[in-house]
Amino acid sequence: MQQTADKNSIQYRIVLGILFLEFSWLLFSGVGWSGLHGDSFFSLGVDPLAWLVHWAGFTGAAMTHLWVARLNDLLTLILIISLFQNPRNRVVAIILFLLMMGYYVFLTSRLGHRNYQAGMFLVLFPFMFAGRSRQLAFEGMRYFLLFFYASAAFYKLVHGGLWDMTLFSGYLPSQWSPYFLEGNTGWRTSLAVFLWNHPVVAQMAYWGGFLTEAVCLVGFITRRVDRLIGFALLLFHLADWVLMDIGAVGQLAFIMVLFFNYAEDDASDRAVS
Amino acid sequence: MKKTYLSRLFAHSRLAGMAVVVFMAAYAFVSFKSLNFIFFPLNDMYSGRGPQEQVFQTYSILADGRRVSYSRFPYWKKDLMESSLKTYAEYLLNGKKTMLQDYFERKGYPEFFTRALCPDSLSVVNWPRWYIHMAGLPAPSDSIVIRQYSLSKSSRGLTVVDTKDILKENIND
Repeated sequence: MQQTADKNSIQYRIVLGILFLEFSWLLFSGVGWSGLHGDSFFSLGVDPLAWLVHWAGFTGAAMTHLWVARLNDLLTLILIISLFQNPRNRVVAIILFLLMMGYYVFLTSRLGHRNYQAGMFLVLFPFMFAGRSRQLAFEGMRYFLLFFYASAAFYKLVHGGLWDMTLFSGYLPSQWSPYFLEGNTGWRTSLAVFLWNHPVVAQMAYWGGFLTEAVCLVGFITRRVDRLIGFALLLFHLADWVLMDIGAVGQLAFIMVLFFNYAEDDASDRAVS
Repeated sequence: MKKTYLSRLFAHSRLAGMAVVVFMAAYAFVSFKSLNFIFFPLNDMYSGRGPQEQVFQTYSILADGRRVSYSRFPYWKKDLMESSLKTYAEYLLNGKKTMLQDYFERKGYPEFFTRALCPDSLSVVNWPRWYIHMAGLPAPSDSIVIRQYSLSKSSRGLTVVDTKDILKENIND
């Protein structure tokens, strides 16, 4: 049992280590709590959770008081480190989950649209439980992750995107327009130009994305190919960045869940808590 | 035979099992209604027919006549500066209303309900200054312009075919 607990701790720390790097990247990019301080313009969608966060004043205080924004940045880093040190501390996990969820809502409200990287706080959900509950929460989250990507394949199939041979080449120019406007061109913009001049090749890349998402369905039948699915999704996001300029930072720790081997370690939880 | 996830969950905790069943039912309902919530994401981006237009719009802020560039920033900052500027431009073009403000007005929601969910019209006026500061540039002393660029596709890239100023602010006036 102790061996299982040790193995789980290593896995938890890998996930939390990646989350730490992701949040550090967000801070470095200048879009942490303090980076967004003073950003008075926001646009919310119809989403009761995002409304709740705004009604609670969670985002308003960070927008108007720089010290609150800085404190939130610091607190987030400290809490991730603290959870890294003791991944079984559920109190820290709950506070961190709420803080990261608030940050995600804050960030996406300033973007004006909701980005897909909700994994930055969803990954903390199982850490709020102990023992067998934690194991089952990780398993449930794994299904949620698989469903998230598999549903994208489903929509491509039923909404007809797969069969429109001009779809992917049609989207590329708008994805890269700021780069051309600012004369900031390079190998990725050259690749984009090649693809919009060759719509069939572009659509083949789109089919590759569809297949990667569809392969997540296998995860509902067996867990034996989880790592393969995990690598495929990482490759998918890399291709997404190269071809569409859509980054994956914020979602990587979440995908790491597929590299997990969930084993119960009730005894160690009792021993630690 | 191996037990399913739900049966193991119910065996462990009936409450947790019920919570997951309710979650799945809610997700099915929300997806059926094509709604997109944080806990029920509708992952249907780029799934329908491709865009048919041949002209693509993008926006820039010009501070004292100089374009505020953002494409060289790290990914998240670049995304923030691109997306928020587009949303702000749409806000201006939509009579200074966000999509949600429009929705609330049409539905007749009371002001106390919507206040925290919509940007304050007075402080939003200064948003372009915040944006320029975010880009690491000094505060403009002469003018701020928000320009819409129309770009057309060619075999070698994108070229500007039209521009339209959607905000012009002379600071000294």
